[in-house]
Amino acid sequence: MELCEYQNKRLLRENKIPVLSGEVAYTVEEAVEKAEKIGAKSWRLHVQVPKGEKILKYIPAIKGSLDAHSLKDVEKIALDLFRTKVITASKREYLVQRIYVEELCQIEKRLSFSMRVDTQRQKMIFSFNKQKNKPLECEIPLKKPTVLFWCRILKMFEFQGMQSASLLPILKNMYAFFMKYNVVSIEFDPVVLTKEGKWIVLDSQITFDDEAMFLHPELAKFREIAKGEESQERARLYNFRYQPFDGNIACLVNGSGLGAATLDMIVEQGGRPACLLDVGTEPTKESVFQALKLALSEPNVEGIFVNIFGGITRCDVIADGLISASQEISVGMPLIVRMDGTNAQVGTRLLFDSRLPLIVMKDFDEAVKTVIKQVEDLL
Amino acid sequence: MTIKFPNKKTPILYQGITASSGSMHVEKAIFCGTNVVAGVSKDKSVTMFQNIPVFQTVKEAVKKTKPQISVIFSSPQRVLRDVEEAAKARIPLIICPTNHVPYKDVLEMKQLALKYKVELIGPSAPGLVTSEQSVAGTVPAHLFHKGNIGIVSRSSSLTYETVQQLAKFNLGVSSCAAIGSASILGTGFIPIIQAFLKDNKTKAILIIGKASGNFEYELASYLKKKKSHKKIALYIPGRFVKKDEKTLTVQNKNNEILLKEKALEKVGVYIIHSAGSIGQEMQKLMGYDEERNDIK
Repeated sequence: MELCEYQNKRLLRENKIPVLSGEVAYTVEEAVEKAEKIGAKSWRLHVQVPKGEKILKYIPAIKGSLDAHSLKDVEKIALDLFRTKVITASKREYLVQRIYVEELCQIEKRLSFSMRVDTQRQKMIFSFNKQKNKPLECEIPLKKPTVLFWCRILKMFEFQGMQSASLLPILKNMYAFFMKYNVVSIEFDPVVLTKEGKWIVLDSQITFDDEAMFLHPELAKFREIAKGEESQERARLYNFRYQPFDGNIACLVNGSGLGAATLDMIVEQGGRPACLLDVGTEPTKESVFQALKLALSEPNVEGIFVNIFGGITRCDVIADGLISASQEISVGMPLIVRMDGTNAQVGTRLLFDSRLPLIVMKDFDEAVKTVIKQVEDLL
Repeated sequence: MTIKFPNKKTPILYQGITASSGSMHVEKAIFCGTNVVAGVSKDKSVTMFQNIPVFQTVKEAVKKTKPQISVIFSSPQRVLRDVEEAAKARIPLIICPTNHVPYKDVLEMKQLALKYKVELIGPSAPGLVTSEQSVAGTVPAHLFHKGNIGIVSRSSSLTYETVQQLAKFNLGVSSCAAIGSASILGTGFIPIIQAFLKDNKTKAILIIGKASGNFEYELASYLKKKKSHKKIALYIPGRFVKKDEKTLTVQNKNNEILLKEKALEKVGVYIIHSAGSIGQEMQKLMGYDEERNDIK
């Protein structure tokens, strides 16, 4: 999970990591008010979007910079910003609704470093990145780091010809933050040395571990839905996984491996998947119900392929969920259910007895061929 | 350290025996003939479960029943503490089926396993099964039939699907280890492959891999040093699925999988390209083996 810039900075400040003073504003008047409250001589205005994404483009383009040197400037820039749309790094479009007003500082030197959980190497890694050259890296200990560890990190900075001892408090607090909030990756880019000789974190990207949100309910409540991820969010709510593609066959499966294999089979046979809905190995009737409902609500879906192999999953539970969903919304497109494994006979029986317009099959390969053919016949 | 697959006699402990999923899977395991010797439950009122003694601590259970394997049914919130308890009691093999465990907790579990010299399978692992003998975990043992193929897998449902497909070709499974699909895991492929190479019942090995992670590369460098005398086959699902890409086509293959296949092919592993043909390909592989034996 990612938060907005202003939320990140508030968290960092609370955890003794130096950031510039700043406040979030929702209107032009508020922006001026907050700027005055901060009390600096100049400010920069940052547009706030969900997930703290970088902004690539302003529509219409903003003339001049986003730096303000008087309260008049703040008012003028804020007025312009609240009238624009922005495009983010991942090509999402947002109307500007929030602005972060932050004091401006003069920069002597800049650098960047990060801490992350590296799933490839199955370790936690610190990396120091000077001007995007090959980064210097070292493993982060899980338990209280020793003096030796900090010495090694400081050596990295000295190696680059830098006076590093003054960075130690930031590094130590960064580590504490990394561990405290179950962070997957935290990048300070850039950390700057101001004219006054203070190190300050100017910008940061933080990703929190989704699976650890039960430990941090105070963060979970900040979760915002990014544009175009409404379906993923809905899926999360009902405990299944959703992944969109640009084809026309929705695939509902139990288990990610089976899902990947199902997509492979469809593509190999010339079909085009519209999305993958993975209800996991121990689904409830409710999650199956919601998954089918979501598939039916997607505009590009023209056929549905349910591929279930019952291991721990009981096929009758799946059948129950499918039946109640298709009774609530009319399906109106080919629905092929392939079921095998635990309780497959009971599940098949239930589906037959429901008299719903669906085809039940047992063989994986044949079922894939059938769904592709039925969808093609429609066109 | 290598792993020992459970047989009829292997004593197994189930932690969290009174939790709803715990009790369900224990009942299934007993039904399949597993030697469940003890349970652990924090519920003080329970002392017996289906004729199995239930203890309040792992330490006590270990002292009285000496289990070789512990299967842990726990919530993501407390699974770390339960794994720690089992590791401290030095149970040599710990199986953890819990899903959605935070990264940091998994890293801590791995460190504990290393410290106490125990093997940790999981989290998110369905576990181990030896056909028609014993099951440790959530694997549906009733689907497995005796045979000569050893399976190690990063998947759950796809594994069972594969087992069914093998059965259609009259191929059975000696033992199967489903080690979990989470990004960070305890045991990788190597200890399981080592166990299969030593196991007399296993003639060929089938690996079901995953696009992400490093296990396939680790195995490739292991097999480069130590040649396998048994046939090994590999299938990785998701060959047309790429991260953040919406268009799936036959031409557009997932490079990560291709690289893994190449690395393993170089060390003599047989690559299976489609989920639909695993049964057929395994039959072919086993067939060649028999032919060679005939010539001898």
